[in-house]
Amino acid sequence: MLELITDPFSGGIAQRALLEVVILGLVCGPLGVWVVLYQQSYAAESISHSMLPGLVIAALVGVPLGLGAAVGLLVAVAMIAAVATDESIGADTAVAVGVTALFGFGSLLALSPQTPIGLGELLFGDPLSVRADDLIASGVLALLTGAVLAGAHRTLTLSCFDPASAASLGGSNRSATWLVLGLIAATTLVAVQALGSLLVVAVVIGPAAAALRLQSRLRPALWTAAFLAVTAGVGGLYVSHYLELAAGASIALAAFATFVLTLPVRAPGRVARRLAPR
Amino acid sequence: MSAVTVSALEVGYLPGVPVLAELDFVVPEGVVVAVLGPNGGGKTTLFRGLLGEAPHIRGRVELEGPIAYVPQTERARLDFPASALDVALMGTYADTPWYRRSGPRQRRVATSALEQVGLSDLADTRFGLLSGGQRQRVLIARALSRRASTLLLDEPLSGVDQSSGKRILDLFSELAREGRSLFVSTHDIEQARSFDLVLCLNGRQIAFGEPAAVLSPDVIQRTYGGELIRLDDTAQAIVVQHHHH
Repeated sequence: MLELITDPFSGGIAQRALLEVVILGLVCGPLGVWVVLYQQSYAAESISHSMLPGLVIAALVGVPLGLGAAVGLLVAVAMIAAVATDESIGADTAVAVGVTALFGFGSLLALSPQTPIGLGELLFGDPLSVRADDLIASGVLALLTGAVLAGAHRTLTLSCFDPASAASLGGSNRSATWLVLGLIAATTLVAVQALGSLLVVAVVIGPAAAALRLQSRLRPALWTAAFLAVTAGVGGLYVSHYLELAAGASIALAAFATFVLTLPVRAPGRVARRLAPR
Repeated sequence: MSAVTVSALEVGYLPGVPVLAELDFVVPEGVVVAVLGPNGGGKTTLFRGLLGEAPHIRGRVELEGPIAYVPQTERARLDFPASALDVALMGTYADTPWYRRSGPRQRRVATSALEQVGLSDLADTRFGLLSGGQRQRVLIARALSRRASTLLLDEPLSGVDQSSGKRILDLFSELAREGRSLFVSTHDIEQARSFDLVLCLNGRQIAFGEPAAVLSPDVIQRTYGGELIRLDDTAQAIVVQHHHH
């Protein structure tokens, strides 16, 4: 019985994968709560997609993937900002136009015969390919994200709950949204090796949405999201081991499962909206 | 002592283009001021100007003690995971350094603020589950946790049922007795008559003073202009309200 639990993690590769998904879960869960509360899920998904061309070019040229992803991200943000300045278009459309263009461009590059690395690996990642330096990067990211979220907890709370009063209570609306988007970008950058540019969003959003259905106060929601994201990561590795499925995809499905399992639970926010008398 | 002194103030977002001008008034401690005006007349701009969030083109504002804004309850997120006490605690954030966690001292401040608005028994209830009137009182408690001596309330009585409205009005009197000054923006001219002072705005200050002296048919006409559809000789006015939600 004990072997069923320990067997998947007997080798060094699997142990590194385990550590990586635990670290990423601890970052992605709480960050996801803010992404969901700030209604930035669409932006989170878009940001991760827009990194693809940068990743592919980095793979073609032979520079570190992280560098390519960072450049891809900057180009995406610049494009989105440029399109969004036309008021007749709007931010949503700007994101959709910019991101699909970049994603298409990235796919074209990735499917060309000269590309040394498969499109699949960039899109879906592979936790089992995580090296020691990836682990260090994830650890540093986890510490930084944790510190930023803790330090900015009050300003994030104030602007999210009631932006009109935030400034008079010591908060700052402008920094809050950018902070959330910036942290998503940094997380995607680091998680790309293990989870790929597409699947990282599942670990950010799924457990967070589940936690917000289960908890009616902020701090418990943040901790629950971290717990569920770690559980999804570890659970996904087990599924991947025993059913011989791709590890990254298994984790994404496990993250989705945490959300589905909470559907029978009444979401406190929804109830509130229906019941609250004026 | 005066709580708020405004002299020759012009507020606007572009240099040389005031949205609200000719502001000149002194509000003493412990009074409730009704702020009247049409939509777009400058009520919100006045509040943002007093808070220092809208640029002053010229003139000055002098404040005794902290000032806090109390929004309409539907401006706050009902789906945010926070209890009534959590919301009251938000008022203590400005006085707590970012690296320090909220401790027993902050909780005491927030708890006594909830007590003052009569909601200590609902401290653990989720904000979104409270009624409109209760949410308004929680937001007032948040301003009290901020230790605000001046409160700016944005239409606190709109969308609140009559008995809650009465409770809120009683609370205003109590806060004024403690020496706090309240600016209450409202569309209800009759209600404004029951307050200590009235400030009428329509792009500029139309009038300021005690309701009996200020609320003449002429002033009401100049304040509401085109939005006023009927005005009989008893100065009973009906104001066409436009809601932007």
